[in-house]
Amino acid sequence: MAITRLRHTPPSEQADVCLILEGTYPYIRGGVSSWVHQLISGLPEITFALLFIGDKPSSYGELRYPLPDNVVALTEAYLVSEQATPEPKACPGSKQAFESIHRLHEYFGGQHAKALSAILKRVMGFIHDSKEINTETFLYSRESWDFITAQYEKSSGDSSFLDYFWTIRAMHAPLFSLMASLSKAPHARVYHSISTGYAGLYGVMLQTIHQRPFMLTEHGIYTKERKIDLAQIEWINETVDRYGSSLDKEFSYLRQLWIRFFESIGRLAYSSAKPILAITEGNRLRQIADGAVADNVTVVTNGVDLKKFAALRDRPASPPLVIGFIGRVVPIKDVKTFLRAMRSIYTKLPTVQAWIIGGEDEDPKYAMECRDLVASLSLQDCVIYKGFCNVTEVMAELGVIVLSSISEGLPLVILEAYASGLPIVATDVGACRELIEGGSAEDKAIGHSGAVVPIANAEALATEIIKLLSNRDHWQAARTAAMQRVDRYFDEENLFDNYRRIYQAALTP
Amino acid sequence: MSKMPIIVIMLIMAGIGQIGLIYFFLAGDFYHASISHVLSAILLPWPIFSLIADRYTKNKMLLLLLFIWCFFIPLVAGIGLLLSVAWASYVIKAPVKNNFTTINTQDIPTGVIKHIAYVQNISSNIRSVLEYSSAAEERIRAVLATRKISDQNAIPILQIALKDPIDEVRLLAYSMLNTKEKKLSAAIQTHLNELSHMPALSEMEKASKYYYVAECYWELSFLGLEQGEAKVHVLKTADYFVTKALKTLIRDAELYFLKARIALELAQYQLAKNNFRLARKFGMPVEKLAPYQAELAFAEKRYAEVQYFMQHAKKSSEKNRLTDMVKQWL
Repeated sequence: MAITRLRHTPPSEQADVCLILEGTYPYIRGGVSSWVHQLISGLPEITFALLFIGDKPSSYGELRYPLPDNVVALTEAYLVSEQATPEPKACPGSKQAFESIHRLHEYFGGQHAKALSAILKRVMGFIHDSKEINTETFLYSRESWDFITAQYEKSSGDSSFLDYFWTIRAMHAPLFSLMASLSKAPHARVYHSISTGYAGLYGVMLQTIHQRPFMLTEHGIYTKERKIDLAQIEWINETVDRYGSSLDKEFSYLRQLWIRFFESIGRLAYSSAKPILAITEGNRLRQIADGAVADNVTVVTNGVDLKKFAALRDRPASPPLVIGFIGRVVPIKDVKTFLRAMRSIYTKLPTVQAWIIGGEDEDPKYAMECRDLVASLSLQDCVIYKGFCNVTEVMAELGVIVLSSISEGLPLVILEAYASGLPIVATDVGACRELIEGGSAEDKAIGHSGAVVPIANAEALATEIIKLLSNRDHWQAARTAAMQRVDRYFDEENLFDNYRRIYQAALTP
Repeated sequence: MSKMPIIVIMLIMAGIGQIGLIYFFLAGDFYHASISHVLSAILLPWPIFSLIADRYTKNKMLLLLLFIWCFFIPLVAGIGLLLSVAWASYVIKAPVKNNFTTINTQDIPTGVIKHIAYVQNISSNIRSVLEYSSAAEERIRAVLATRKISDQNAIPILQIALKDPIDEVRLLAYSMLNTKEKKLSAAIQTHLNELSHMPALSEMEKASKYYYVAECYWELSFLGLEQGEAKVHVLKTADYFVTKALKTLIRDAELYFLKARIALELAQYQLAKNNFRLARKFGMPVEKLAPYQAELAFAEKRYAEVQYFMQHAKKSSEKNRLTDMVKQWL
């Protein structure tokens, strides 16, 4: 059985809430991780178990956050096994087991969710209990071969069988790995996934086994982000119709298979979770469009520790010519557009500095591309890589914070900037426009706490940053609006009160 | 009008000539035998030529060849050619039954007609869909459709999609633009690494690499992947590498041409003029330079000269992009 490596901190007690985290806390720094840490720290009366889902153990090093005292267990599950693939050995396989998998596939093809719990339980039984489905039977059994070939003949279009086979294998292997690790998952009174995807799927499985409440919070929209990734990755082989009339088709069959897979497990999580928590109204609407029941979805906005940043609000009359980019150096943050903007800014303001404050270890290839871009734009004297720093220490020296991301939810960095009295220039993604220009009429009346620009538009970004840094009155007005906005709407106590109420409702039988 | 009756008449007359050749030859009348032979040799080539498949008769010199064969190889050549042409054309290749059914366009579903029109004019249709369609899924498909057109046409369209109200459309367009930029940047880095880590390169090899790097930087600007000051910077970097390449490749017309285009883009008109002149001096065709020289003249308000250059540019614009490809296939 291809069990993935599992590190397991035995729970000292059954936890109230098990947080299911895919690729975030406590091994990866970032907005979502900071939010999770903030939530756990802000609710000391609730005990948490952490279930971390990652790709493979060697991808993750030390803990990036000190675990608060109310974390009673940390368990890990991995999608990719680092054990050797078992030796090929002919075996018949279990007809009933693969019939169950076939029914599960039919659900993923759109059948009614009511049947799902029973189907899922049956499949999990075959994997988890009787072991009739495992890596060996999936790879080598006659039943598995018949199942895959039947699916291929039914629906694969013009894709090659070889590519289809490996796609199916790549898709199922992580599922088997996760299912096989279910017995080691912490027991809790409530399961709470912090995204859909594999974390959501795992939450559904735990709910099915233990019959506990399952809730879901989404910061970004996992399915949307996977769809964009899948549109661009090159390792999916496809028959490209270069001269024919395939303009009407979105993607090749294999890409569509992957997209449907993630859409299906997303729908699965939406259909099983209650409540579903979104951080912005835009996300809430997107979740409903993707299959969540409207009555189950609530907006609980982020918050920030205002006291922590209060001392930073005292600033000079004129803005320091230091631009802060606080975030991981990863493609979704679009650091390159920021660097291109710096080329224009540096030409007009030769004493300006750009500080990139964030880790480069998550995507070393992209980080190297950014450094190459700094060199090719001759910005070595102006762009300074600070690495990961204590945010409160660096905020004191900044004049403006920039967010050039191509996708965001409700960025914590904006709230922290406001709390410390800094304006923001951000791209028009997620809730950024609402945060900068105001949401409600009352909020809009506060004024603009910075500027919003289109994505991937370095010139527009540069123009707004120069405007803020060159005009003292404009900068002061933006700062004032920022502080008013965060004080009125984004105190973290609101976040804690909301989650306390939601958890208490879930924990109460 | 069918050529067949004329072919038949000529073949009959040629046949009579061949019979006459045999008769007069056997009768010892060489004079009349020669006349019959010559008449036959004149009458045979054209019918045979007409019976050969079109793809082999593009060159009209074949007629002369057929005459030569018929003239210098009496009787045998004519009969042999007729038999082989008949065999190749009509015995080996039997007529193919027409399996197509003709239908009126009204019988084709509307969606297919729309689709055909769509395919016929890809770039402008993609742009129209992005600008006017209210369906996000259609706009996503339009973005994906840019994979089928050249970067030069795709990039401005993707930049329109960056402003789409639906973030899925924007993100997809961004990803595709980013991929194009990454390819060029990766190519630049590869060659720069080779230049710094391979000291054994000859001057020619280095010059080639400088040229390639310059072209990649130029492409970043030309395709619109860099804007504003970043664009100015990559143009200057491209110019730097062109200059380095020119130190070795001092007679390379393409390099002067590239340098001129960079200068034109940077509004350095005198420099552009000088380099267009050098490109011409080292062999660049007038037609290729003319559009850019017209642009330069316009920028400098020399409008009379614009007309002059456009006359030369017209010669290259009469060709379309498919002309060379068609010639290749023929």
